[in-house]
Amino acid sequence: MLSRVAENIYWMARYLERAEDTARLIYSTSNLLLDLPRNAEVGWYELIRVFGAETQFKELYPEAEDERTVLKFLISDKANRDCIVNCIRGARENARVTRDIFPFEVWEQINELYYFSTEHAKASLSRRKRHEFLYDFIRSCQTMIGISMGTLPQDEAYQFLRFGRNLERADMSSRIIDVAAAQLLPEEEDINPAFATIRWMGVLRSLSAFQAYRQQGLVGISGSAVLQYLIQSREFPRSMHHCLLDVSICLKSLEKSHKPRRRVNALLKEINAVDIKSLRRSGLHQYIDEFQLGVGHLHDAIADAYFGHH
Amino acid sequence: MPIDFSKYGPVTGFDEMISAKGNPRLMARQLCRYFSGLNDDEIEELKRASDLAIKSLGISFTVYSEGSNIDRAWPMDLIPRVISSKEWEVTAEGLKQRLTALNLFINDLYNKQEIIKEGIFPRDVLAGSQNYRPQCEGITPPYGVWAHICGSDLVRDGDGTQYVLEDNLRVPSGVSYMLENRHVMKRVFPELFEDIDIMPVDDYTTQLFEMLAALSPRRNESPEVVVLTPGIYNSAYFEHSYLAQQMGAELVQGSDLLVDADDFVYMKTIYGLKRVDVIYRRIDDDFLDPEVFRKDSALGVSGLLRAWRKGHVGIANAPGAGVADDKVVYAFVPEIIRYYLNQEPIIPNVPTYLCMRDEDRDYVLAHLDELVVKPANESGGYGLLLGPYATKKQLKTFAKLIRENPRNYIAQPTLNLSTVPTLVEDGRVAPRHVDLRPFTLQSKKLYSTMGGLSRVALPEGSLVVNSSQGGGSKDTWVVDVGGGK
Repeated sequence: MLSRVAENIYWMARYLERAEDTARLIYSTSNLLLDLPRNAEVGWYELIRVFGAETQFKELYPEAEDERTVLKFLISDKANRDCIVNCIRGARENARVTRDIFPFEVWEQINELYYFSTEHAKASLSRRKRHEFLYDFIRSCQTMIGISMGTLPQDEAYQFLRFGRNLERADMSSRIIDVAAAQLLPEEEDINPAFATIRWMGVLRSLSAFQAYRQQGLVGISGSAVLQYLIQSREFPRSMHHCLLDVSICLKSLEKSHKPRRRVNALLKEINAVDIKSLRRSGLHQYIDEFQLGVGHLHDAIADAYFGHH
Repeated sequence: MPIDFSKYGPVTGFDEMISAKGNPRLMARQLCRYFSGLNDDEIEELKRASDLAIKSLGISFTVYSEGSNIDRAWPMDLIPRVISSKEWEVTAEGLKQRLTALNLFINDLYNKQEIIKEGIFPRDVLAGSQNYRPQCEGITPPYGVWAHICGSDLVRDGDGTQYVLEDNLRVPSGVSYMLENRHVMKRVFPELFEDIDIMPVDDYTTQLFEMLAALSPRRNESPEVVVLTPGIYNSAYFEHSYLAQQMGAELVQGSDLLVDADDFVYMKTIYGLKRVDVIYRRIDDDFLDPEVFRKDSALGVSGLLRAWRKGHVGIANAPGAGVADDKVVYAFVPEIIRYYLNQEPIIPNVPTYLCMRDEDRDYVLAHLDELVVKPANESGGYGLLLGPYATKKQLKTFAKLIRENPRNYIAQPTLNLSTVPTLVEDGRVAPRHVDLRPFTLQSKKLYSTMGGLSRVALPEGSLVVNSSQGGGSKDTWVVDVGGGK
């Protein structure tokens, strides 16, 4: 497989995942806000923090923190490189230059996803249409993953698709966790923010993890148990731990993988070692910062080994 | 209002599918009956289905507009163009005959030049050729074949005579649209394919791969064949990726390849360098190798010509093959066929005046307002003069250009291109002008597509079939009506 092609496939998967996770986050936040009283002091602007886009957002819209501006920024704002529509465009461009690699159905689906998102993104800014748009969009992204898993030969191309998806997912999950913890994790032992339970449920839902979490049979929903699940679960496909586990499995099937493998193993070791129950707000934030840095280094190691940038 | 072929027209010349009396020709009869039986809603529904198929299959072409390129959905007309298999058999033979002769001619030009020595082909014409590559002299590629893929343009005049209008030997495109049009039609009209004996076109990519594989310098292994594209900004990128995918070949850009110290070609893979055996290049000669051709080319591969000259890699079409893709050379093709094959041409040339000949030039200058004047080396309809439609000023400019550089111009009578029934606004069917681009392959053996890509000029009366200028396309059916009729 060509180095350039491996890199295109990797980025296609990252863009797709980024778009899907953004849609998930908006979807669950919309639902959560419906459940909270008006004075709950949780706002749409939190989403800008999740993406670490505060500086860019403030430059574009110095005065605004409202629902419409935030959503436009995340869904269809041309000025935001990472908005859903731009991510899908990026995924499609990368798919276009590797069109010969993918089974035809994959290209067909990404093409439909592209037309669907460009045609409906604007309408989705209204509340009534938003639910439908996001729901369909997330489903289409999942269809895309399903089609590629079901039709792509499980050779190198498939591994680079999985790298991209899992690295991006690990990063996005960690962002969602980070912001949730900043709002919901008590800094002091006994002061719990308002509506903590329902908001933790919202965090689980944004990662489609609510049911899976429940099935563990735990009583109640506590912040530290949710965090533990989303960070350390070996089974749940969007947990930070699981994403990296998948990367390490992919690496085993490739040659020349010793350097990235060393990286991913170190990250996995850290995930297992961290004692979540004892972490307070700042400790968790620091850990997640380091984790995101580690994911960045893992990306570099993969790029060095396979994308031929020397 | 259902389609009524008896009210079809006006046909000013020859119509491919409807006879002068207004009856569908034999091979188009079933098809016309089917379309006549559709009501407006059904036609609208079929159009929608076909647009959707084109969009979701991602069949697009690229147009440049104000510095950026736009991906447009491919325009395809619902009504296919039908050719009888009996007629096609003859045409296909003619195409193979022509390509065989052209390859003998190219190989002769780069080696002994016997056709010049015998006074059949003028040395001046070769000297004035922009596409002759002295760097290729003394080479005989495998099978003596230089132009492995030829996309000829066929047209029919008002009296029904079919001509070859051009031999495209450099990097002819359009074959993917031929294949995708069929793909869309099968989705939209499955019942027609059950009822009518339509010859399949699907084997083209298999034939292409076999033809390319036969150029591999390594005999006993499965050869590494790649498609070399200038990249996504090229208007034919869709086709490059499509063909690579269908052949299971790598789609590479110049930057993915290198020629190493051993003069072999390698591609850069995730596990290091891998040897390449055959390159199906979709880049013009000029950009192929900055070491010998244009120095500023970032699209090509340094040292490629060196590797090819040593026989280390096959290149299709071979560098220099474009020498025979020249409108002055075109005028000599009937002579070329007679000289090398000792046969009469099966498909005639459009009568062509060579402005380099005094007698022809006098005639051209005297009849400029009736003729089509073409520069020798341009393709895609650039720099053309359409005499009957030209202004006084344009005629004057061309007269001057011809006098200054006669070698660079040819002239042909204005053809009244044949028409085909085409779906136009408000669900009507009207005649529109059409041409045909079949594709012919040659390495170890010869192959011709079943039909080809039919391009239609959509505006009424227009003769311009290029998709970038409002042209559309049609699926082309070679239909067996049985009984040798």
